[in-house]
Amino acid sequence: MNVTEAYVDGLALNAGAIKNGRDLMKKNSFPLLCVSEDGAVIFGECKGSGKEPYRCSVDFANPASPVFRCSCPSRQFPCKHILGLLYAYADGRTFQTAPIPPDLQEKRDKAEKREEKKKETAAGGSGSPAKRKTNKSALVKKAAAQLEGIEIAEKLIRHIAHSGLGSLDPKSLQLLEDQAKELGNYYIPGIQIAMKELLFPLRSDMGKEERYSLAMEKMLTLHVLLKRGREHLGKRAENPDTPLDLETTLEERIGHAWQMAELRENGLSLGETGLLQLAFRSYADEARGEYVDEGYWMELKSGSIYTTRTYRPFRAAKYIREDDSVYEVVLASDPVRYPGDMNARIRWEEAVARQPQDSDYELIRGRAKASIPEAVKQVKNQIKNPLSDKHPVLLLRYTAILQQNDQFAIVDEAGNRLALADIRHLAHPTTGLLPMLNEGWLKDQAMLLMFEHDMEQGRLAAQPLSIVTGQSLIRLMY
Amino acid sequence: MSIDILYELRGEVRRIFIAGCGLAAGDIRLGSLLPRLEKLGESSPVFQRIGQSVQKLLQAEPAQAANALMELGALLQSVLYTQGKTDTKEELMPLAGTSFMPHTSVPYRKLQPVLAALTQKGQGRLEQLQQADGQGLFADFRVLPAAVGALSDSYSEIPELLQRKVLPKYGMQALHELRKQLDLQGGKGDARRLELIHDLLEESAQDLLVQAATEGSTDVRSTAIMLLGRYESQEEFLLEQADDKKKDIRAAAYTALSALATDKALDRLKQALFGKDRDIAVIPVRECRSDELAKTVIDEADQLLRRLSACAANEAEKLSAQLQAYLHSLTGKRHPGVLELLKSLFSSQQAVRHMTEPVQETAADLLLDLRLPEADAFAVTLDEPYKRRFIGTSFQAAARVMSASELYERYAPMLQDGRQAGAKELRRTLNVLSPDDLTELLGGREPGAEWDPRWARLFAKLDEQELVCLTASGPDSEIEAYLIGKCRNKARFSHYNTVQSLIALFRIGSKEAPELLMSLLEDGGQRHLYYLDETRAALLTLLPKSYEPRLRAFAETLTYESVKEQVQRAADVVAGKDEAAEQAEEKGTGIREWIKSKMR
Repeated sequence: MNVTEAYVDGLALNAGAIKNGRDLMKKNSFPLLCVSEDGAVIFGECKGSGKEPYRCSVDFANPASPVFRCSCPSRQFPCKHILGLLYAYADGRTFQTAPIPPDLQEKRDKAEKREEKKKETAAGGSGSPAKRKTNKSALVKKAAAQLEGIEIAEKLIRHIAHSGLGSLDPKSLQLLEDQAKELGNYYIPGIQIAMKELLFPLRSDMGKEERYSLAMEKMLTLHVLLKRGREHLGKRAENPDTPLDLETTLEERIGHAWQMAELRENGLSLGETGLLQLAFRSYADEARGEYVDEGYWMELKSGSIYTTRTYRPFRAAKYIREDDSVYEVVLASDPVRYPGDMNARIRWEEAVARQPQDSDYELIRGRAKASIPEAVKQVKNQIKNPLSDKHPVLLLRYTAILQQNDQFAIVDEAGNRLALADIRHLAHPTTGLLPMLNEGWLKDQAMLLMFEHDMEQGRLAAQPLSIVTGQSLIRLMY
Repeated sequence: MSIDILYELRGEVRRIFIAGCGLAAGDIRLGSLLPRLEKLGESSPVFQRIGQSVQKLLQAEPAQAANALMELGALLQSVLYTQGKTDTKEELMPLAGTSFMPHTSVPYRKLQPVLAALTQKGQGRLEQLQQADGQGLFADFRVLPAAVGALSDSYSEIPELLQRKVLPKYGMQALHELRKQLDLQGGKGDARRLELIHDLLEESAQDLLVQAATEGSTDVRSTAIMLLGRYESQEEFLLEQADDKKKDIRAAAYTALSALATDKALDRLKQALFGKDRDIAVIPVRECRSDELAKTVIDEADQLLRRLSACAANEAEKLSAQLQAYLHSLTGKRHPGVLELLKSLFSSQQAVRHMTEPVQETAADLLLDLRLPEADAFAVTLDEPYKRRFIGTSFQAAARVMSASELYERYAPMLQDGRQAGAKELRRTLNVLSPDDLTELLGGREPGAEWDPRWARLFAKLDEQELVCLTASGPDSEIEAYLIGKCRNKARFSHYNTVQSLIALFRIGSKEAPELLMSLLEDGGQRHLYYLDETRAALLTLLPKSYEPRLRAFAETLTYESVKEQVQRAADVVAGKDEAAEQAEEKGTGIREWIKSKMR
């Protein structure tokens, strides 16, 4: 097995865990470091605050998914003791060769048996797993409840529209928020979030004009969502066999949580897929009460740009792995695609990684869109739909980058220009980095851009996220 | 144009959203747009639909108004989303680019905390940035704008770290960002940016410096002026600045002139030191390399001395303040004239009497700072005159030039009677000259710096416990008995003189010291010991290895976890002594080095 520091960093749930694990190694908190005779298991003891040391081990019986064990009570997993053990191993500390302790051996044997049993049942079970049965009357009932919820939401925004955004004082906002909470009882979490997204800017301390513009936009989105949702759920209430909407994000926006198996059943799996991450970001979504880790990936075969998204609720953020920038090419076995726009969300369970080569970058650069007007047209076509993702991401080929003071633009081969700007949605400026780029990267390369329409200015702005040259990927964000 | 009317319409819709649609029916301003929309609608179906929606809203019953308003808004929004402009009218030039190959290989989870530390407030940021620097995370050029921005951070250690350690590593790569963020009207952060730019460009930054020195804010100007002190061609300009109205600017100009050290610059510095700007000119004069300047100051001080010895009492204070400034500006100068000046100063009884006490001290310190055998020999003679006011100075100089026994014989008689003039000062000086306890415990006493054994006996006789502890050096049964007596008599580990006595007992190699220390701990009712300072913790490590079990047992009786840990750590040190001695031998470092590393 090849344990490098970067590998251990990748296992850690968050930056804090990395530091804590490393500190344990640096402070020599491991009086005992051992490796099994066959080298497949490393184990050791780590000093804790109690009398007894914590016994931790890493089992590489299956190198693709090692098993971590530790006697500490931490809910973070892998805990800092396991990470410290791995860091010590990666650092080249001396590990004595020793027989595996009996209690650990027992656990290993049990795990092995479980694995065998699983294989047996997999081999014994004929063909595909049983199709899931759904309770139709329950579906009808649920749709009825959802429609009821939509009605409440409609009443709320009609009320706001009637009395005007200007009339909302803290007291009436509180009342609206309480009513928005009520929506939690009607199986429409997506709509509830949209409602919170509307109320959130109204309570924030941004400027009045900006606040009104943002609230108006959210109201319009919510209005359309409620209208479409009502139509869609109305059909389902009448006929529970109405299929799920696989074309748009409507189901997700109402609040349906897609399961991977469900997506697969509906033919949304992609098969063996090679992907390279072009940009990454993470932000706190206050309205949802969650951190969102977002990666933009190019699928090498088709050139589509997909999104990965991990939601980490604020309250449980410590126990869920914080996603990170990925530099390797990921070969995912059969990822699924969520219904959506041009940057549909994807997800996979198993994958292996390999180092990217020049040919990969060459390929990606080649997949960039060559014409600015066509790309802009594609973006506008998407964002004019009220329920679409308003911040599409595209890879565009450019022949040059232009500048005048704080103004930047790129030019395509036909001489069309596209102005670049730092957009509000990202709240992370990147255009300031452009003048520091190497001169070789300024001509005939590709730029990953996120678009945003600024209603007040009547502008469609694009912010650079990354640059793809023939040999490298330069990340301007993360 | 037809697009403009859509924006106009959006303005009206937005207004109604804010005001509420309860009164939208028949809205006049909305209605006035309708004819134009209908006209455009004749040729375009989109405008037709918009026109109809407006119509619907204008005629809506109050119950339907909200729906009509949102339908119109949604439709309009969809149309406007297709109308965003993507080009700029401005004249743009191709970006020049750089010859650097900035890399971006630091992943989000490592990069983000660094950016947060640079751009937000909060605890622990300095440590985080130091670590980030150690891990090479700053090499990623995406940190650069934030790092340059954080030069203005109010937590001054952070800008200091960035300016001295982090940003210089970027070299010329940082220049663009430094220039971009430089605001000549800004504060201290911009002064730092200017300095960094000058570090990179050196001479070619002169024009920028002059511009900053003329137009900038006070902080920026001062820094620019100081930096200009390296360039002789700026002499004229700097001389002008030395006449500025602002004190800070004049001070900066003096610093620059001091670095320049041209004839005109020296004249201007003299003028400042001898005139109104005395206080701000002291340090520039002191740091100036010119011997001629020092000579002039010495001559001026000499004349002043003469005036001082002849002056009336009411004038004395003013003159002696002036003299003090001159003396301060001579600190660190190796000019032979300084000793001559001091000699004549100390031999002019009238002048010394007219000086205030701080000035006398300044003169005495200056004499000792010369560190010349001749100066020390002269200082030694200052023991008797002026009612032994300079006995401390004399003693310090004597300690440098005399042997331990000579020193004792000359000064000890003055201590026989504690009330005698100078006895108190002498005791204080003895204290100053001895290393403090912690330094001793961690570093040991320098060989040869030992006191004559008679001192300790003398102090024992006078019952000066603290001074006995300081001066006891070799095995001496009399002193041992004295100190053991002190430690047995109502002594407590929490009393500092007990700790001092124990340290002294260990130093003179008393066999009873370990047992005494241990029993003090065990019988002292120390259970509620809530804090152990570094000296006490280090003292515990002096115990021999055989005391380890007792020390550990003692640790178990303690209530406070942190103290328990400290004692356990001391026990670890005690336990590892043999091994440490071996290791120390191998590495050639002292055992104390090892203890130091263990206790930190």
